[in-house]
Amino acid sequence: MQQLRVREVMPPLKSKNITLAQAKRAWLEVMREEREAEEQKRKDRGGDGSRIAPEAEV
Amino acid sequence: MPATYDTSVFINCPFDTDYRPLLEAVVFAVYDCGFCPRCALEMDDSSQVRIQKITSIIGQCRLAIHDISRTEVDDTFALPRFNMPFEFGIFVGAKAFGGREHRRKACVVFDVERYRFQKFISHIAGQDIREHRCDVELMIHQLRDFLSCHCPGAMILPGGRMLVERYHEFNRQLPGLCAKVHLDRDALTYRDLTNLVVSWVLLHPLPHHAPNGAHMAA
Repeated sequence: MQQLRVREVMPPLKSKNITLAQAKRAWLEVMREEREAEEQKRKDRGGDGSRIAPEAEV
Repeated sequence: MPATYDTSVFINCPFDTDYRPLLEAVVFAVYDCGFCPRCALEMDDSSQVRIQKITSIIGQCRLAIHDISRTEVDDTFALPRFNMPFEFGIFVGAKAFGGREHRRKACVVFDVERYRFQKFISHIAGQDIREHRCDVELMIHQLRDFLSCHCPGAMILPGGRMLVERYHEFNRQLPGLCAKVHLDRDALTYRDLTNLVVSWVLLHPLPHHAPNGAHMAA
């Protein structure tokens, strides 16, 4: 019986699919946008002192 | 940990829409544990005979995840689908007759309930069949425990709970990512899915991951 071959595994990438580099860039963008949205929320709550909290205005 | 025979995991599971969340969880968990998933979906090549594709991948993987939960009677023909038990049999055959390297093969077998298989494939009675109850979190915990027994050297994998949290975080961010790159979240190809998982894991590394993502060859 012919012995099954064992070799390094490196399946070829298909050009029509998203590439690893494209995916990485897009994830970084998603993460940056989430961070910015989080910061904006914090600012809106007055958490960073940039905006006076409603109770302080009274 | 480079993607080699020892770190490659053959995924033998259903590819239907209902199973999709489990498949995505399996792919994520395998990568996040530092291994490389392989499956028949990775090459979209109509010129290749399916069974040759499957045997070729089995030959390149030391480990395997077999899910025989779809062995159930079809509404139209009143016959069960046997593709997954058949591929499990090829894997067992490779281990028995494939030579020295293939004798080291190891696998985990899942069914929806733990003892259901005894009614249709009693020859594997006595083996440890695990149940996933179609629960993504349970599946990730089980996979983590299986793969932790096959890590090279003294490598320690994080606990199942942490992997589950990471999977939920990946899944939460995925629709935003898909919108950004004009991909349909519900119709990702296997290749797209693996590239999205690999890139996410590379950006959220764990101590057991290879520093440059070398274990993620796909």
